[in-house]
Amino acid sequence: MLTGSNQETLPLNSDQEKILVLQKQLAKKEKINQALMKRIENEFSPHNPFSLFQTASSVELEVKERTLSYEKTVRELNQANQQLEKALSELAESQSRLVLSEKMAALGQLVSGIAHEVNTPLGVIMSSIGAVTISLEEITTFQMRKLRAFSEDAFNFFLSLLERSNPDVLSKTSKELRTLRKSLASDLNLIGVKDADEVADTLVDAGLYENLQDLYHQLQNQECIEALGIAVSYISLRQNQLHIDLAIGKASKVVFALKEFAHHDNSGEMVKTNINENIDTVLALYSNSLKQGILVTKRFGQIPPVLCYPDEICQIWTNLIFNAIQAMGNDGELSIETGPKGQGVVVKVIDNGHGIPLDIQDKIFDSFFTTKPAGEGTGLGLSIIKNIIEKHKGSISVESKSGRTVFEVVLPII
Amino acid sequence: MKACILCVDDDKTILLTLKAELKRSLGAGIYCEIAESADEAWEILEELKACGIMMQLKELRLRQIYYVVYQSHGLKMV
Repeated sequence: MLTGSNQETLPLNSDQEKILVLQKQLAKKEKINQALMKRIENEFSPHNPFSLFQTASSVELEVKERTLSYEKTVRELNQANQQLEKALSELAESQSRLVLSEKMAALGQLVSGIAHEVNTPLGVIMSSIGAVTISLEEITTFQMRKLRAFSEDAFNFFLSLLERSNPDVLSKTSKELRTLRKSLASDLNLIGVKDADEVADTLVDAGLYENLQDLYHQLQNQECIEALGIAVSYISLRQNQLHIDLAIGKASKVVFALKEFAHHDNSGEMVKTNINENIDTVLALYSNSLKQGILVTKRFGQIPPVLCYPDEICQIWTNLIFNAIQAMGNDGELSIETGPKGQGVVVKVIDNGHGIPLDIQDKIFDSFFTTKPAGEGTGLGLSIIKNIIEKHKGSISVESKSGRTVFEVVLPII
Repeated sequence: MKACILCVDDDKTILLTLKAELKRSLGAGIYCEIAESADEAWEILEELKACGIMMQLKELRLRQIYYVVYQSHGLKMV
């Protein structure tokens, strides 16, 4: 079509005209060219439907790709999550194992002391039973007949001895008894009693040291000395019965405390607990370590029962008391105070040991932090305490200088 | 001169039963003293010494005795 129009307008008469015509044609073609160029540009622009289609398909591809990578990420995250959960449960498990092993370690340290605590009263019971057997053998019909044959005076003397004997063997210290014996011996010596030292010793051991002045003169009488011998057999029965009673009380206290301490509550339920009794349990178990040079002062106040896991609370006092004993090097004063505080109970464990250096005071509750030589301390004692206290929504703080360290534990009643 | 046995323990019921047993089995021939602490044992040793009873006890043996006290009660050696 274009060619046709060119032929119509093409004049053939002169060269100049030819050039002009050609120039015009060139300009036209340039215009067409430009138009074509524009069209091409348009066709490839994003607003063009074809281009839109192209873009759409590429977006679809990209979405697919992204979805895939997203799914992959989610899978990976899930996996990581599972691993974390597993690690967490393992951590919780090993933590409870650590708590248990710390408890067992503390128990191990106590065992030798506890064995002694039980053995001592057993020894007392054995020896007292032996003494009772002997006394019963002594109180024979022979002695009865002797008593019957005594003069009125000697028999009354015998009865007075039985009445005036103080059976409470623990009411006086050995030092006080020694002083009493000495003054009694010198009194008896003055009035000329034979073997005054021995007689005084016998009297004091039989709990005879008060209001005896009116009986002194009778001790010069051989019949009354015999009456004293018989009285001692009777009195010894009473004394030994008291020894056995005391020993049984001591042994049961230790066994009870041990049971309380080792008691693991499987129900996982909190129990209303008297914190004063809870502390007494621990003190009973530590009495062997404590009495060897540590003066224990208890200042227990009236406190309401606390809803808690008693065996865990026991662990707090065990660790605090054990630390205090170590800080004092088995020689010092340990005082334990309890009292109400707001909606809770406050317990202070105070020792007069070497104190905790200021620069480590904020680290002592960290796990595995210890100042003891490797292998001696686990470094878990205080961190376990902190965990237990946090579990009970309580708080613990420390205040320490050389010669006075106070650990203050506050437990809410809940 | 009488012999003397000195018993030291922190448990008084132990001391009392031990003394009763010693007196019974050894008879009137001995003194039996009891002490509830190492310090008290020292006091008694000094008193006995003053009475002439400990005259023959040499310083070394005295330290040994104290060492026994020391060992069983975790006390400080002076």
